[in-house]
Amino acid sequence: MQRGTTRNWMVALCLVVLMLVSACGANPEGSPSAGTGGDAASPAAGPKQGGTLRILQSAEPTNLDIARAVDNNTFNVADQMYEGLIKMTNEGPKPGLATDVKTSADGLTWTFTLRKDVKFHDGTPFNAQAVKYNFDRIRTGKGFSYANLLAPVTAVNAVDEHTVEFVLSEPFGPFRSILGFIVFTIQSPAALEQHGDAYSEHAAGTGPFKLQSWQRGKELVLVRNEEYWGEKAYLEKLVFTSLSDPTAQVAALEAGDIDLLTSLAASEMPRLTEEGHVQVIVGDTSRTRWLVINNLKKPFDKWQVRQALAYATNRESYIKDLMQGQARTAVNHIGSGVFGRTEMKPYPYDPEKAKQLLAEAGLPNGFNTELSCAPTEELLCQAIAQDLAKAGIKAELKTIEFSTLIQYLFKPAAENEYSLSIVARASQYLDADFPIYTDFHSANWRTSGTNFTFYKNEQVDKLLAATRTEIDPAKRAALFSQAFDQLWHDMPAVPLYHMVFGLGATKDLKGVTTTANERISLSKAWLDR
Amino acid sequence: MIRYAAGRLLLAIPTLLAVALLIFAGVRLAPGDPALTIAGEQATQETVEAIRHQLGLDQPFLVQLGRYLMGLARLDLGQSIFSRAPVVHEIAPRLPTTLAVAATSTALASALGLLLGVVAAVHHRRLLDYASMTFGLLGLSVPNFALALLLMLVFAVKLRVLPATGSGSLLHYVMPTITLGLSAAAVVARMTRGSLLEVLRQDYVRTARAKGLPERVVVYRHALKNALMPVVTIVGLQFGQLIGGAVIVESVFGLPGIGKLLIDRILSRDYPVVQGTVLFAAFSFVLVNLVVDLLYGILDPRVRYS
Repeated sequence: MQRGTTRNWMVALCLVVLMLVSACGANPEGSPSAGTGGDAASPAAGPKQGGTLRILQSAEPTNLDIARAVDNNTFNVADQMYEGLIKMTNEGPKPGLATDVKTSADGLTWTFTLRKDVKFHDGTPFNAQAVKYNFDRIRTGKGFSYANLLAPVTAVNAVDEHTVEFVLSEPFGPFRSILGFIVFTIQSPAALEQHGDAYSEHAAGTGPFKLQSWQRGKELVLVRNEEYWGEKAYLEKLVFTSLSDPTAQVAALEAGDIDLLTSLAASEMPRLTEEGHVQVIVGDTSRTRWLVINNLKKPFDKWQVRQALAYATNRESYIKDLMQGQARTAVNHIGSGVFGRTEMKPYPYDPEKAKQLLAEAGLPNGFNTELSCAPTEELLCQAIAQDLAKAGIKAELKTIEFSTLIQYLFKPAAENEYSLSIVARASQYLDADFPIYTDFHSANWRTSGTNFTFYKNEQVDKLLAATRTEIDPAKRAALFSQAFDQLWHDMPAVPLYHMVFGLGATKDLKGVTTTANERISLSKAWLDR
Repeated sequence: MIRYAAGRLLLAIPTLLAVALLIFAGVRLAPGDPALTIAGEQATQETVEAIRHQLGLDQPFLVQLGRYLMGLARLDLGQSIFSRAPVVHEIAPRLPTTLAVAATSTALASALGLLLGVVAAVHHRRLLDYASMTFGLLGLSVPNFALALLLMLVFAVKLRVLPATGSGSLLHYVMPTITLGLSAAAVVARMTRGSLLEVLRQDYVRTARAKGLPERVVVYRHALKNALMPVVTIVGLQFGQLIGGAVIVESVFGLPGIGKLLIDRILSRDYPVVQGTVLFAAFSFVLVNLVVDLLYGILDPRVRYS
């Protein structure tokens, strides 16, 4: 009898398993097909129209009010929806919603001629009033993170329907590039006024895609803007979803659940490239990882000690071993594609030279310090700590969760306690103004800016200030070059390596373009399937 | 029984209040600053302060707590810092997903756990017993996230029979259900086995056997029903825990439930949503426990509610 019972149970178990397996095998509509697809399609003559692109990001956008946005996941959606007066490209600023810019002789008045054929997604017209509304809102409102970039602007005037004039308090060299920063793209004043806190569900810009729906926590859907003033997009729909686990993100791409992954870890790139089931799109980025130094804290107030940190760190080994080769030797504090950047000679890895510099600084026996790291940088920090130890610097590792670390690093000078840490800095508008002026000019010491190395050098201050008031690009570049000479000597932070910008995509996705400020454009993207 | 249930629900209020206080203090004691998250690293201190003021985070702790409790008294969980939507509107649309996963995995856990437990008890100290319990041990020791990623690699990436992530079709629930269901099944199996073995040693079972009843009837009609009491408790507790387990599984599989909501908002320090979600999870746990207690009465007529 017992045997019979067992057999019955086993039969039942087998049935359950069979049912499960057959249910999986049935693969009804809505389940993924073989992701890379396109095997039957012959190479087409040109881009194909239509199709839905499924995009996976590491987190949801926070808010579609772009003037308040600060994160790439929001920027990636906004890139497809919104446009600014100026469009930043890898070749520099290009006309966007403004066709022409004139600067007065004194550099204090900038007059923009606007495109005449543009409508917001909600049907309202794009005009000088709309531009004025957007900039006044940021300048006079509260809680806009990047408002300080517009500090020299004293007035925005709508001269006529299609002419807008910015009046400045002083000549402002990086102004054109700053207007190309995505947070200064133009949103529909009507939509902002009408929807208030619920604007994100009704966001309206002028770009090639417009918002269809946003179910928070699930998906955000953009559709092609059929009334777009320029060349219309090929793709019909963009569906953004999010997933925080990096392993699951890559699995979703490999399984064919999604077509584009907007943040691909460098560690995954070599394997995915080698296996070849999906494509790895690698772009240049200005993003550079720094070993940041609290210049106010002894003994880091001495340049010899900061240079010693550069000599003591084996930066090439971090690129090779920790980044799997997916990074470039740092030749500046900022990566390629940024106006004003000059290539410097990298410090060689030389622990002996580091010891010598420490001895010069009166520390022949080295010293003890602390290295504060986010959990994601732990391996890098361990490697750095080992290298520093070889030069006599004993750095104790402190692992701190990211948002806490930021809070720790960003305290005002008087209460700031960090010694060394790791951050990655990128240029948001492809001008060395950001982050070189913002991070190394002493007027920007926390808390009025983002100089959290608390570096101060009068010569550098003078040069960087001049890059702002000079509007001739050639002269600005020369000023930056001089500033970099001094910065490279003073090493207020040690640039460890220039990162690369990696996207993962299905093989049939074509025409995706990226810029060095990590913007992704899908307006010319299409699916070959 | 209705009076008993109402009383239990009233008793839940102090529990929930304690949870609310703990989580309220907890998120604020934890380092990190929502204003800084919103403002971004580029923002000046002035901007951060302005945002902090807008959010009311510049108020003293007790004032913030007072406002929160006043809101709770009106069943108002507050407003999300990011979407500015009421917390209830953030939780409600995600609830079906989490409940669905919790329900399917509890169903899997009960079915599989009972099956394995009974098989093990009936075949005490024989091969099937050891096989079942080995499975039970495995199910308990493999961490959820590891199993989730393993399933994903095998069934989604290699075999391509199931979608790796996302939601929308029933197939999207298969791997999350297995991930959560297996570990819970292991607990249920061990509990069923232990409980059934104990009952099988009782006098009335010996009597039943002595009067020549077939073993099947002895086990299923007489023993199993009495052995089920502790199992029901465990299944109930597991269901409650599955709501917590959803945090990991939903994050890995990208299921838009309250677990993923909780993780996303902890990372961005969206205090009101974190508070609301934890409070809701605690309430579910209390509710499930109540349902379990009520089930006792149905399973065992000797249990009276007073």
